[in-house]
Amino acid sequence: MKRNFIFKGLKTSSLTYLIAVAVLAMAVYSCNKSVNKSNTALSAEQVKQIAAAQAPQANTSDGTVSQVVTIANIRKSGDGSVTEVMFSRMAELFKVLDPVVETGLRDAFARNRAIKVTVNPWTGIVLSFTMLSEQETAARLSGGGMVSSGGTTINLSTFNHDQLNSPEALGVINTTVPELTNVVPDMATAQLMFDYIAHQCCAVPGPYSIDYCISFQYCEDGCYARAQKMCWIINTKYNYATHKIFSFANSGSDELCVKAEKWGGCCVNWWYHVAPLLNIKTTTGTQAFVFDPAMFDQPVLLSTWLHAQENPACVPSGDVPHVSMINIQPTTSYSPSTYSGYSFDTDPAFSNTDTTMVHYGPLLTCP
Amino acid sequence: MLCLFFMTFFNFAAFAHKGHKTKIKFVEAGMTVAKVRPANNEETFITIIFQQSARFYKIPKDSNPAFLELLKDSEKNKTEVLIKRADEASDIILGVRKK
Repeated sequence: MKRNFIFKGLKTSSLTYLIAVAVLAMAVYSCNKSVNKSNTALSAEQVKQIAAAQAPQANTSDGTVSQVVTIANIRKSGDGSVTEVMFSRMAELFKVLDPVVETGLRDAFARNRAIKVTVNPWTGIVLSFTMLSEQETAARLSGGGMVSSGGTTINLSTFNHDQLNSPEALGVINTTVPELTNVVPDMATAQLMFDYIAHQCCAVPGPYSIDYCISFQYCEDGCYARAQKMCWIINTKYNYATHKIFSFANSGSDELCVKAEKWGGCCVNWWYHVAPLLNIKTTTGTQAFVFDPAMFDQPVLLSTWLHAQENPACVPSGDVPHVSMINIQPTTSYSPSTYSGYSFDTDPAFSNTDTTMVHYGPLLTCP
Repeated sequence: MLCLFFMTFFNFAAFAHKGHKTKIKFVEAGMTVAKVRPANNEETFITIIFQQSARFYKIPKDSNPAFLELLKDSEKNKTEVLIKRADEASDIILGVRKK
């Protein structure tokens, strides 16, 4: 009887122990799997979190950040003790401790002026700011670009290809506002700017000098957002004028066919592509160059950039590697709004630009 | 025993949570069709071009015919439709619905 009781007790406790271990193992497995699954798609909340994490990047040795922004709102904290300020292109909420700075910020906010603000993202405190002029603010609100010319559509089948790199023939010389320099003085300066921009690539370990890293490593898509960001850097940091060069494969079975040599050598195909166009002084005269770190390691002549988009090694069956037409646009143009490539949308608040950077930042071209 | 009860309960909760995540692993975005390119004879898909993207997207020829209708309506009326794909990097259209 006693032996039976002990045996029964042992049997029950062993069973209970086994169930507990099994249940624990299943619970751990389920939790892990749940976490992994949640990483496969970016929810709106995750995008916000990534944006918040990427937003203010230190660009000085003391950890402060200087950036041109507009003020979204100024308010008192919940208990009324501190003034808080929100900037249009920063996810973080900042505190203002200096009354002089607060007065100035309120003035800029009331006059709807853009400011160059210096903040400490680690403490969340606004340190100082300078107000931009009305003209600079207008340029900022119109998309960061400051060119004034209308668009020029060029049919490559009728255009003299010897003139393809000539800023005069393309109509991109002397068309900018006075604040910006039309011609980059030499290739060394151009390469310096190019290297700075290329260093903002999401594949390069941070910290970055701008708010969101640029997704050069994912050239399958997103050229419109990359071009917008590059023009903004060239215009506001270096004060050189830019245009945007759009290439289209919008006729018949035309496709833009590119070998992504920098990212593993796979092929990518587009119906259009866009990048900043700059005038650069060379030993043979001023020529039209394209900045495209997704495809090249240096600025390239417009003709080289277009030629790379007709790579016969990257043609899907039945299609034709062919640039149907090009369109030179002011910097404010963001992406084509029609298949014909004659009209364009803008992104003055950089909202589409930044969303694209957040979505494409973690992706790779040739995984 | 109480511990066991809670462990069992949380385990079921974790299973339910896992099932929910599986449902939202696709990405869906509002996009406007710029062009529907008819398929070549040997191709098994139709090429779709969107205003919001520079790349080409594909919808299998044997997809739900209603999807293609919605895409053609979007091209004609320049209205956004919701495009479902497996993930952000995919160019295959899995579903189309009205926004």
